[in-house]
Amino acid sequence: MVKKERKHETKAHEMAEGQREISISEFFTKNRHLLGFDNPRKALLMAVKEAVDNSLTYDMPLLIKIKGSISIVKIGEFIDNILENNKSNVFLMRGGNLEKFYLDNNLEVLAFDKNNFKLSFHRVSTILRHKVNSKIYRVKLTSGRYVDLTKYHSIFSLNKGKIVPVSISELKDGMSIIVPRKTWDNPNPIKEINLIEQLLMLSPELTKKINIYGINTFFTKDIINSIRAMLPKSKWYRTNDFKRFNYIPFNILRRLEIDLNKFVNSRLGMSFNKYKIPSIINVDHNFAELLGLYVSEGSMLKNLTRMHYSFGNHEKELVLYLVDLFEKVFRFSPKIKKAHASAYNVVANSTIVCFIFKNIFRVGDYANNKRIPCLVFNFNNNLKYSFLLAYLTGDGHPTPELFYLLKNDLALDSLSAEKITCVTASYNLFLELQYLLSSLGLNYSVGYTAPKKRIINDSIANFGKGYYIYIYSNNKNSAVNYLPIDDTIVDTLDSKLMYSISRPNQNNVHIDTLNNAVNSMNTLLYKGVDMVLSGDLGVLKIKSIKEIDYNREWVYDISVPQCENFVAGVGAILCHNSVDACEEAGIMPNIYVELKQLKEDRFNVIVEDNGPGIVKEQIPKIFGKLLYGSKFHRLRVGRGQQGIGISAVLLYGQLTTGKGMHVISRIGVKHKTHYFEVHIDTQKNEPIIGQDKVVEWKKEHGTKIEIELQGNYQKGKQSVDEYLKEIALINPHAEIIYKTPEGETIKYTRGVNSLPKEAKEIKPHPYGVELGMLIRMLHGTKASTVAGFLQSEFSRVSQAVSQEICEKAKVSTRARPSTIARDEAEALYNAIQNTKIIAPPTDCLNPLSEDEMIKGVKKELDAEFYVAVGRPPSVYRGMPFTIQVSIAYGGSLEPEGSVRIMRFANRVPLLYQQGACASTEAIIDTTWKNYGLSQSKGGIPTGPIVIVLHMVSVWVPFTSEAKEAIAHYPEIIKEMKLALQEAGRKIYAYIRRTVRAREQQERINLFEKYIPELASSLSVLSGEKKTVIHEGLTKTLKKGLKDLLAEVKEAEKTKIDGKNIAFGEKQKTLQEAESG
Amino acid sequence: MVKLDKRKVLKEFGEGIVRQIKKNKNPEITFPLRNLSNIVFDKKTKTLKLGNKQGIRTFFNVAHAKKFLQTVEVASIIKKELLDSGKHEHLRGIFYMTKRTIPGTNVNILDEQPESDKCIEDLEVITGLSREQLHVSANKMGSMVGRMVLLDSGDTIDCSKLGKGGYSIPSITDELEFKKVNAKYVLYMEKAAIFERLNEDKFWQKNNCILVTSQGQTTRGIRRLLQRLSEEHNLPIYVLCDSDVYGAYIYSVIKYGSIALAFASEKLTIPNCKYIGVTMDDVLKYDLKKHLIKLTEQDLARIKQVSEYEWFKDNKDWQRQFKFMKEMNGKAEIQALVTKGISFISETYLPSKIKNKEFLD
Repeated sequence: MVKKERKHETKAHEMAEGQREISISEFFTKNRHLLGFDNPRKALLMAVKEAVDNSLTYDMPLLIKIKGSISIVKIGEFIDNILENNKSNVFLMRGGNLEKFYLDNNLEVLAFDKNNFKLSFHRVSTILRHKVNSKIYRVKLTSGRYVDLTKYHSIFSLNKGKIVPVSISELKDGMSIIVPRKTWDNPNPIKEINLIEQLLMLSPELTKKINIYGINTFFTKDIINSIRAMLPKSKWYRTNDFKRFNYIPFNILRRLEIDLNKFVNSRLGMSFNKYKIPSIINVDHNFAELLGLYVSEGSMLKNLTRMHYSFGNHEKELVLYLVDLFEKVFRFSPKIKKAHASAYNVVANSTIVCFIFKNIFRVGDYANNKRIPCLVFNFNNNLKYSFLLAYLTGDGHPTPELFYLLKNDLALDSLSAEKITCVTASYNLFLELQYLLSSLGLNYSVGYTAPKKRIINDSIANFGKGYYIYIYSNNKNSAVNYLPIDDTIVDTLDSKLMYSISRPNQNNVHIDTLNNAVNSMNTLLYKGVDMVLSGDLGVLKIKSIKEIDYNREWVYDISVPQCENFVAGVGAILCHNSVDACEEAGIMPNIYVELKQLKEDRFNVIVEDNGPGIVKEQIPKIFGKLLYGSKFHRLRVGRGQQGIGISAVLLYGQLTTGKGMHVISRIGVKHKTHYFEVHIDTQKNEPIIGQDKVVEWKKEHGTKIEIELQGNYQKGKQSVDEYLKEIALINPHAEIIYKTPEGETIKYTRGVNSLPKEAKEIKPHPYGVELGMLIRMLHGTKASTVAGFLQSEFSRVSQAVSQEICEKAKVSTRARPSTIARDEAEALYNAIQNTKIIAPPTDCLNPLSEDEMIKGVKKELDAEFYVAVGRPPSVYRGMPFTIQVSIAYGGSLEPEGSVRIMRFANRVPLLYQQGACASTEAIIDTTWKNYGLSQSKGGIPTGPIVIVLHMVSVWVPFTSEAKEAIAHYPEIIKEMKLALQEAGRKIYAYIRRTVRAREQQERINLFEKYIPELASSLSVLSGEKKTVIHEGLTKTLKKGLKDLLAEVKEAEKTKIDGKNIAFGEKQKTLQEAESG
Repeated sequence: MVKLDKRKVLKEFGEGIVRQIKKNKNPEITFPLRNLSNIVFDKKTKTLKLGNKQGIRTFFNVAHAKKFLQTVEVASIIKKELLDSGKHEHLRGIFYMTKRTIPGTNVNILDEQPESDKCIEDLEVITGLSREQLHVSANKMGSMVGRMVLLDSGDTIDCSKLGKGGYSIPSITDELEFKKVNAKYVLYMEKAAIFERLNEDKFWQKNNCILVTSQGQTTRGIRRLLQRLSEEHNLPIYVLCDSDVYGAYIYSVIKYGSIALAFASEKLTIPNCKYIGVTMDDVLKYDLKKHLIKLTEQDLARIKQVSEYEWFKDNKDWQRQFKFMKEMNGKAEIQALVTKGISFISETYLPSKIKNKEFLD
């Protein structure tokens, strides 16, 4: 945070240094058009940046799938580990405040697909951590699930049928948060565990006492020799022992090159312990139940010599059940001991069993550190259920009934009790159990008891912290199976439903009810609700949002391409991943614009941003003096009007209302906020500061201006509304909130979470300089000779080139620039044009990426297909430029009439003079008929299309100083046409492929829908069975699918030609209305 | 027994389709086309008849599928809901019985009544059963008054004792029984208003005739009624319409039949009926020129169309009427006669027309 702030300050100071005086005449020739109404926004959209970092805290559980196996990890521990182990490949950003690593291995997390809301595992592309930069909040849901995250992180909420990310600041108690609703599992569940494979992954130190038995079938001479090669000669005798006792130590096996398949029938044991177990364990119900019972009732000695389970004396049956499981899984029987009058113990003195429970299954050895083995998450859901039942039989209540379920393979819903209470002392178990329940689609809630002392039978007993989980047996009524009424149902005429949803305190509606309503005529659901219903997601309400303490250095995030979400938190909550926000150190712009109508033609304009702010000394100058700007012959892609635009607005406001401008600005947390009232002395062109005081402001940095001026508010093509919409489209990284004079608040959300590349600054290229400018530059230069001037003020001018120019112009290379007369300057100008100079560098441009283009267009235009094309940089008259085109097609776009054209120059919308613009000429000159659109000769094409055309250049040539239309340079028009053609081809490919194919498919689908209808009415008519007719028709449909497709095309053709007489429209007109 | 037969015909229609389906054929329905291209004007009988052109409607055809489904659906509804129970239903009712959304789509089996009406007409040609036989009725839109007694569903009705309204003609007139008919001719008029005028003036009493009207187009029921009166009681039928192309067409439908119902011409047409007025000659004779209504583009187009119909093409009298209409660029309503006096039509116009046999054929 500290470092970042310093960065903003430097920026502000740098900008201050860049400000210089410009003559009045220059201002007026260049900028008089700027006295326009919409300029405050243009100007302020400029230097704004903001940081959004969003992350989860260290301890947040994250469900991952790595190498095909699912486990639950702490996100912090997991990411720290990877970053530590890959130090050389970690990207350090923001001076070390952000660390990022691109994964190439197969790490997957559970995430939902945005297109169908189905949960499945998706690949993680990037993991990262950054320094804590905000307060940490805990969002707790009604079931007790929670997630801790930074202020900027968002989780998902259901809002009027749509699933949207909502950041902490917008969350409120009672809001619906998206969680998994349906079951999920590993698509490739584990079927058996090869213990030898697992042991190989452990360190030899751990496995040194393990032996493998039953080896005589492969104990060949070769093997004996290779074993002997490892041993000193004095120990060769051991091979005889191995042979005689039919075993070898596991660590020797490690070093042999033997096919593991040979060991399928071998057994494992440990030295000095008689119990041996099979080396391959089948993952079946017995195994799952055995694990479950261990997690609830088992424990083992630290030295791994004994495993025991304790039961009450009323649980004799369960004891026998366990012994049976043990035999089935490990092929030996544990002992049953009557520990004391009221308890049985089941004891297995097998060190190998203890060893694998501890080191391979990792189930924990005593109550406080019990866990659910990771491999349980890789069981199929049936086995998971068995594990859960076995676990509950031990830790849950009512035990006898649960045992009954376990024995008889019954489900929880046949339980008489409504909820099962289970309590554990292990936090990990508590957490993993929640994921297990969620994966099985079971409903639960949680609770805690603090550690306390209780007096029982006159003696003090210490009770540790207890974690409670309540599992509800009736899963149908689970809270995740309800959705809020307000966000799903628009209205209903169904009296039953109306009654049930209008009762007081009735905020939710069961998904079954909604499923019925989807196809009902009387109930209108929000668009998207059907997708939520068919998807895997449900909601839980927020119970509380609290700030919590967090002492760690880092917070964490992962990036899941395409999904931008993942399941994490205590008890599975879907988190929004917006990792890209961390890409750049800059600030993501948040802009607030408000227009207040005071009178018919009087407006109060408020523009607020969260930019770097403006240093105190510069405030009056920037806002007060008209001719103060940073851009003269400093060529860099920018918004063009910084500084000047806003003072022009001040002047305009002052001229129309007599009032000045109120400015509030702050450059960082450690700085005070300044408030000014600024006027311009129009005679002297000096600012008059009416008031200058320090005020309180809640923003950490940013600028706010407020001014009253005369204006005219309209909607439509050339309105403030349209301007902001287009700004949002071409600046997808900005978030704009706009309050209209009518009091409506429009939010243009951010579509891209990274800032555009900062543009490099270049010197002008000689070809691009006009005579007047050349003269001004000659007078303003610090160089002492003309040759020096040419080399230092222009790009691509070498010594040789400068000499050539001077020679051609017959001007001495050593002449002083300030003494050059007008005709000499003209000679220089002509000489430049006649000298060969290489083209300027083009890396100074910062166009949007194609992806950003598409995201921007997508969020502002509701179409069905989008393309974007970015041309490689090109040069006109010494000025580098590039053209970008994006086309949105179909969807809700107007299908009739001319296409809509949106023109931009350096990320600023051009709203006026469309006809005079080079882009319009390029569009007209392109033959759109080739791309499936209609176009009259010399006209703009028609169709459901919006063309976005963006020119990025260090110097955009406008037709007039009004900066409304791009001038007609052949090089520019050529590039525009090439970009348009490429985009046109892409769109056409889509129209041809997708649209046509879809239309055909839709028609085929129609047959499928018609068949049951025809079958049922034919059945009534003929008396034949409905199913017979249905089958016959379906068969015919399958058989004739290909012909049908051809027919579809034919039908389309006749429709177009109007030949479809038999059943077409013509018939209608001819028939007389003789229905009587 | 008749009832059973009808059901059998529909059942056979369904079975035919099922047979094709079982053979895994693309099921099809064949029926005579009912558009102008397949209409033949039989000069001998002077009626419109269907030609030999057959239309084929197949199910697995994008352009036909819906129509196919509609036809079968309507047939099944008629069989199940009407024939099986012996009840009758209106065209509008059939429309509502058929209209519903196909589950899982936003496609309705039917969207508008003309679609189901068309299906019923198709079924008529497919099965050879008339709409009446299929128990489908249409709105009653006509009245009748005059010296006749008839039996309607067991009720005896004396059409001379029914006050201002007259007898309301049901949509199915096949089953009416004429007990007693005491009239010299039948006067059918396009306008109910004229009917009321003539009824109030007791025109039928004074002239011993039967007055029949319908609102606008002549319904099938009325056409059948007129045909029966003409055939069973040998009464001349005189048609009174506006002097415009639509009036001419109404007359031609009664006389020769219509395009849509060409298949039923035999039961509906009255080749020897006559057109009594109003003619363009009347306009001149009674000086109604100033009451002419100017023709619209549409009127002119329709005149051109109708005048080229085969059954008008060679009719000099009618060509003359059309020519007049175009020349004078106007049309006259029957009501224009009222400018000559409120009972001019009943006291002067009609009696003189009938007396002088001033008819158009």
